[in-house]
Amino acid sequence: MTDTWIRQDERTWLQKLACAVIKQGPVPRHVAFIMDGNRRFATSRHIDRAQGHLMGFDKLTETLEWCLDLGIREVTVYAFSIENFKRSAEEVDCLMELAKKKFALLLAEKDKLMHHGVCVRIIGNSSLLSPELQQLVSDVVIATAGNRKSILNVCMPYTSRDEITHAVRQLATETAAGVINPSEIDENAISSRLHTHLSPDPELLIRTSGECRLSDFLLWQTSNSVLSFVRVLWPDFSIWHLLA
Amino acid sequence: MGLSASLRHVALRCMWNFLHGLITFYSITASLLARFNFAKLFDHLPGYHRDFGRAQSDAKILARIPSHLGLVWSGDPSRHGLENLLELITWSAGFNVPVVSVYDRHGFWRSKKEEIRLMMEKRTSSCATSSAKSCLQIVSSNEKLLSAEVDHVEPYDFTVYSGTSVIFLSEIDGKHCIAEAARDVCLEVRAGTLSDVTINEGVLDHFIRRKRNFLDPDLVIKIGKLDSLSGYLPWHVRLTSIIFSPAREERCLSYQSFKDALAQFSRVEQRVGR
Repeated sequence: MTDTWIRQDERTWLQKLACAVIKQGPVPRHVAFIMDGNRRFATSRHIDRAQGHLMGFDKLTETLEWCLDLGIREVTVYAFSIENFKRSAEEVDCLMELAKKKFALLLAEKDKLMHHGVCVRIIGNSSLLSPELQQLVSDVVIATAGNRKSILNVCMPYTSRDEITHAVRQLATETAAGVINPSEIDENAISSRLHTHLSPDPELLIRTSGECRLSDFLLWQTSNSVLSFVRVLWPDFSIWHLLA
Repeated sequence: MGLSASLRHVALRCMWNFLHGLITFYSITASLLARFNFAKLFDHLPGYHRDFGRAQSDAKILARIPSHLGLVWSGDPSRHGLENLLELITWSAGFNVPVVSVYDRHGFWRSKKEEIRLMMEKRTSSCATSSAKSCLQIVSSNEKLLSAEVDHVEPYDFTVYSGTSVIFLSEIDGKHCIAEAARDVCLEVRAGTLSDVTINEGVLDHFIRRKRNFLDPDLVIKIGKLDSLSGYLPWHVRLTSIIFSPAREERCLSYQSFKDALAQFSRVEQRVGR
């Protein structure tokens, strides 16, 4: 397993050729992922759930490298749903500990991130995170805010309905303060108050594990995107699934 | 650019064009084959009676039927005949689906609403079985559901119909509807009847349902080439199972594919984050 966010793995000649051919056509600028199947992967391999999540993280770093190679400028991943807080305290703690370690690693690799021009944004209701994790997340976001070459949006803890509600609440606060008139409220007013207002809508959404649902992820932003439900568990996701 | 780089670029471009040519050839061949509906050669019964009865009998083996089925056209629906849609509605009624929403971005089906209602009435009246007649009460409910004065109308009650209710939707029922609900929320905040700090998912959901009062769809079947929901009810599809019709059937969904989609849905286990 590789303990880094920025990988530089060697490709096989076939993978290199496939990437070069794909890049001849239009490549999406923004791709979103629902990384589903870590737990089922762990069960099928008779390993710990925590190990399954760790392998899921490993796959994320690999996928980011493929996206960078293909010229996909922006990637959004569903890392943790607000609904995931319903899982056992043990599993939630394990996931939060993993997040802490990985964001600390991200901060330690700041130079690499600056070199590659990677901007990291955290999308969601961060008030639900522990103060320690909130601080880490905020440090990462501030450190990479100026980078523009490629963007990684990590959604945690996030649900799309919560995000839309947040936007409407903000509009209501602005109405109460007399900043905006209710008659001016339209789709653009909501879009510009979503957590993702700095990003274009994803052209492609990929969900692994064979589940064919959006599970409250980017409902507003992907309403016109191409959806791809892949019948493979996230840790088994390969470059061929991405290229297909 | 050097000669070798140019040659490399040309070679890669040729490979890309070749791959796309291959995919196009496959799509055309598959869609030509799909036009031959061999099963219909053996159909002797009147259309509606046959479709309805077959669906009713197949429904018995399914553990779960969607309460709200969305039929979403991602491409140009005008390429489909009205007969295709009538078949889908008939099958849905046979499977006893309480609500069917028919969606395309520009409201093509909505514009054909009256024609569809008349054709459906004609189909059902020619049917001898009284149970089939009573199970298939097609309701064109847009007038009540989607009128501009909907705020002043009581929530639409689908339960008064024992059969299948059909509603026709378009892009304005999606993000536009959420924006309308947001506007209503803000009007109440300005009037002082609602505080901005009390706005949560439940409150917004209530305002959205005052605009479009129907259950979240459990299942969406997407028909057309593009694998996209094309703006279909973003608020309501939170946990909806989405099934794409087979690419070779982009012009018309076969009964087998419809039945398979419902069977796939009945096997789905939702964890809702757990």
